[in-house]
Amino acid sequence: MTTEILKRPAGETSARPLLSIAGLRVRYGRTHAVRGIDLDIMPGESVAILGESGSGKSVTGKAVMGLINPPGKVAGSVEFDGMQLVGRSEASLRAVRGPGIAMVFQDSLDALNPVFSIGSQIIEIFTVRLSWSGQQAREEAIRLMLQVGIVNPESRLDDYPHQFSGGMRQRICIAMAIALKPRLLIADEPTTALDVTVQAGILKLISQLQRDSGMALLFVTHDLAVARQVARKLVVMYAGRVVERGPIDDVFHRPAHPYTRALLGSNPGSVKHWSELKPIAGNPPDKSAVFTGCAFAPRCPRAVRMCSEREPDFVTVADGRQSRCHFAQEMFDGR
Amino acid sequence: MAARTLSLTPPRRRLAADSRLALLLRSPVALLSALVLIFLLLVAIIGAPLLQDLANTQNLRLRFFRPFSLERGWAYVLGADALGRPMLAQLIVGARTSFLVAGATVALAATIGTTLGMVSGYIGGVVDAALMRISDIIVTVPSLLLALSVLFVLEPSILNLILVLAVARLPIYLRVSRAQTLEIRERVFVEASRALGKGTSSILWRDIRPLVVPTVMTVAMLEIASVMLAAAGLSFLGVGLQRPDVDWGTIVSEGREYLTRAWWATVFPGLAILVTALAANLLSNWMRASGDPLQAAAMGVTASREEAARP
Repeated sequence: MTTEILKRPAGETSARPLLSIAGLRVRYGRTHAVRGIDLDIMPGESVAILGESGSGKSVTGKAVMGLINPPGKVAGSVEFDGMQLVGRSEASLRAVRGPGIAMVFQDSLDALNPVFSIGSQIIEIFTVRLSWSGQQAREEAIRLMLQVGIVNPESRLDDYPHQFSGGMRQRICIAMAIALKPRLLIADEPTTALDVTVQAGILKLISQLQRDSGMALLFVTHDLAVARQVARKLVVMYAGRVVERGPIDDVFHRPAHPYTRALLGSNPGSVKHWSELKPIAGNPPDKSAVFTGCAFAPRCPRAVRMCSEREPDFVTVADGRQSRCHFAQEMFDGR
Repeated sequence: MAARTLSLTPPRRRLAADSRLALLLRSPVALLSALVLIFLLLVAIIGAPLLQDLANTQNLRLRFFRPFSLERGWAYVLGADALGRPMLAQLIVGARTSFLVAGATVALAATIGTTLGMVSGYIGGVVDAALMRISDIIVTVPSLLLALSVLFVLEPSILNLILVLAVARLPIYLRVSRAQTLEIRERVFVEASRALGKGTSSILWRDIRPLVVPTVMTVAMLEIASVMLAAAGLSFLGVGLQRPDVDWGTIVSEGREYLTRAWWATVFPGLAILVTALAANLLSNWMRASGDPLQAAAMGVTASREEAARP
């Protein structure tokens, strides 16, 4: 831990990161889901991880929570508030889960136990984790439900999950996640399973909760537009690695990695007519593949021979902007 | 939209005991099954002590006395067996033992088997491997042979009979509950519980048990008939119940020898087992459905709200 502190540049010591991921790797047998990522999240900061399916973004979220089940193997370092989480036992992780880090899942339809009323599920968090009395827990549950925008919470406490719509269920999941006042909320594609009309409400709620409570947010998504609504900082992942990082609007306007640029070009919201859409050619790489060069090279319009021979470094192109590309600076400068 | 519709409906009642009873009254099959079981239980509890002696009274002049005649009194209305013992009295006395043996065996095997199966499935690893190999061994040894050898060493008593049968029947529950647990373990709400810092025992009890129990209940009810017959098999081989103790299975296996001469000595106890197993099964099916909030809603009590809430 001492070395960790020593490694940090002097300018950053004023605020210690709440979450510090270093060299995180997750693999299932020969399948590499995450191939070494580094990421710091400051207290109260909102960070989005952007990537297509299979890029390792969800696995990263789960790895932070310690939710990778065998045969999955986690290596590297995840420090939360100075405490190393990787390799810790399930029992000792329990202290962190809930009040430290909480999580909202993608599949809100299955994230609530179907045989208990939602009231009893929220109340249970307080009675089990904080040993509160039933009455106190009930009042807090009602307050939470109101906070996440459930109308008439008293009358809905005894309703079962199937009696709620998808959006309402996700709101309840969010209520449960923030019940223990976490300092970091990991939201794993919380709006992907929802109607577009409901999405906006959920995103607004998450942003608002994050601002009001001052908790940090790690938002995992494949949708750039969604990421922009909730996060200030963007981390783009490809093939289990971070390929670009920076303030979100900045990255949006001046991508410094061909993959990010390609993502922007393939986003339906970025063009006037569908014929202008530029899908990214090819497929995401095989997760058991071993790369000698850049993982994106086979799909990259700028790729030269060097790209498939030598892996690019993570270079800083401007203050707070980094990109893993041999042409990072040229990309950033718009060439 | 859903929220607005819902706010207009009155505050709902919980799906508690009273509405469960209301559901039962709406389902004729389940209600009938429950009444049949209650009737049989009452007969066993009240009737058996009174008829113990009559059931074992032999009267060779009434050998293979035909059923459906009241000239020898109501005890002989279902006929008599090879030794002239009244069938009806035997059935009533046998009911008590059958219920005791089958009920206790199934309850014991289901409780232990399900607990182990859930732990095995959820924890996995070495514990899982060890438990499943033990279960394999039990399955490999024919249960009758296992019971036979144990009862040969121990003295045959009702308690030993229950213990032996329970061990022999354990793997079914172990496997069913393990398989269910493996599936439920991967569901998001279990992951969400872990993400909230809930402990293993809390997750097993609150998240997994409620979804495993209905399946196990259905299996257990099917098992009642098998256990009654397995107990009979042991009696037949001379290590199960012995006269004057008698159960339905014993009566079936005794009557089998004279099937061509006196069908009633086999058919009536067989019917008793069938009716019990059927009623238990139908009731357990209903219990499974009514214990599931979604299906209970479809069954009536919360139908209107259910419709309103559907997205």
